[in-house]
Amino acid sequence: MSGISAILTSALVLGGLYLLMAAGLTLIWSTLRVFNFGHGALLMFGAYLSWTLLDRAGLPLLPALVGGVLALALLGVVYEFLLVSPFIRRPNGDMLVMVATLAATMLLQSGALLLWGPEIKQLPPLGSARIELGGSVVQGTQLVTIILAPVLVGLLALALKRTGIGLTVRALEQNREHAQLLGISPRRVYLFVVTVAIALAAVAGVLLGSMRFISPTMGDDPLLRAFVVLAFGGAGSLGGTIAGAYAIGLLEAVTTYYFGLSWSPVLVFLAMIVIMLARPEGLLRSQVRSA
Amino acid sequence: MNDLLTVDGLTAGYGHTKVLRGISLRVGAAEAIGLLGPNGHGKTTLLRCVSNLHRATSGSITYAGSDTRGRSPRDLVRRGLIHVPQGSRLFPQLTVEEALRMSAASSGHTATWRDGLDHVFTVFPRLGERRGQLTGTLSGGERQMVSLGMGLMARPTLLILDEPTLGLSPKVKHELSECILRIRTEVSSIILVDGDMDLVLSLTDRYHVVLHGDIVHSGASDTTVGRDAMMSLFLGGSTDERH
Repeated sequence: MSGISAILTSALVLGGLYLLMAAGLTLIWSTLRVFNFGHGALLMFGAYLSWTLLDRAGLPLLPALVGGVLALALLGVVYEFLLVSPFIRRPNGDMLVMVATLAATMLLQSGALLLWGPEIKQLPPLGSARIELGGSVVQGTQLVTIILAPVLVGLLALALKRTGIGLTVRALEQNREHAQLLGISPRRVYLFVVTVAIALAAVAGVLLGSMRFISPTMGDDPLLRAFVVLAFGGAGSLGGTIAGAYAIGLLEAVTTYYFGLSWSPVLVFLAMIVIMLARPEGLLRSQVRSA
Repeated sequence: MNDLLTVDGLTAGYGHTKVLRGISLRVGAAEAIGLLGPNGHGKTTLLRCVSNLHRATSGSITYAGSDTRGRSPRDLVRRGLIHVPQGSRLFPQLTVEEALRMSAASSGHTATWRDGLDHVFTVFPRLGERRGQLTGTLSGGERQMVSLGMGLMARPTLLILDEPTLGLSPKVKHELSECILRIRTEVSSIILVDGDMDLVLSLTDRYHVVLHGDIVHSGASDTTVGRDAMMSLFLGGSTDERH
């Protein structure tokens, strides 16, 4: 019994973290047709920025965390201006942007090392709540992750469904040329999409920095897992991403529980390869489409 | 010089293929003009240049008193230049109502989108019945209505219609023509391209025949046009009738 609740807790926490990462990547993929390799490094930068506001600037916890996320969203605007818009409209622009985002990863990781040094940092737990669930303990940050991640991504899905800007994002995804003839500016949509996606990555960074540690390479693992989520859910559909994130979270929780930490990634990536061989369009793609 | 749109000596092409060879035309305020001519002779390219979706090689386009070079399609939409493209597959995952609302939002009419919606449903009652349906599941005629409806949501001053009745059955074509006729009285100026010559001539004030990237024949739509003369132009007749 305690095994099952531990697995479930872990699945919801991991799933939530992957969801925050993968939802942004999906949003960027579906509008720009680009995989943002810089997403993991941006997550890391968000964690460091929050830590700086908390530890160096001496802000209280909540303003520091929110400030870190907002600061990273601002960095997202710069990211879009420097790495996306100069390249995206050129021939092979999607490839150029992907290379640029890879370069950005190196730049951000080295930058973090220079700015904050090699010693590992950590954000304090978010709240002191401890809930006992069937013998296992859910702690503050985990609880925040379990609740916050689906709420934020749910709000994003709702915004895409209901608001004017959301409709223009979806219209650009579906028919770029006609969208432009209706007055939709791809530049504006890209800016919106990239900024929102990066803000979500920053939230994941803050949560991860509180649950584990902050280091220049802390974003690598979540980025790779988000890859698996996209393979699972089908890049480009938010519904598939949500299902994919929790499925991978569950898979990882189960394999960690029964086979140990070192076997879990092996099995997760093995699952990804099998899925990509069997269903290159994503396991859930067609179901989500018809829904 | 009260022209809403002036195209002057426009040349354009794709790669090494020249499509437009110094074409010129003007559209007055409150005027509807028709473009006739066989497919592949530059009508659509001309329209794409006017809405800045395609960049002209040389020549100039003036809309509402200012040069459109370097302006984004968005900018032109916000100034009332609305282009309803040919055979759009629309936005398959948006419902009819979402597509219409989106057009109001992207053209800067968010606040009054409900009025626009009521109006579009008056012009196209069929869309009102289908408001919750995904546009990807509509028939060809209904898709064309959504396309036109999205154009109306943007409150056009100059409405460009590229082949609105292409590929439609005679019955649906007739229904759509009636709708366009109604739109005609509400929109200041129209450029209409359509394969149906009678439709174009009945809806416009003047017409041009476009052949090999230039205008080879022009006239007033209400005069009795020599259909045979026009057909011979279409079928590669001499271009000596250039005006």
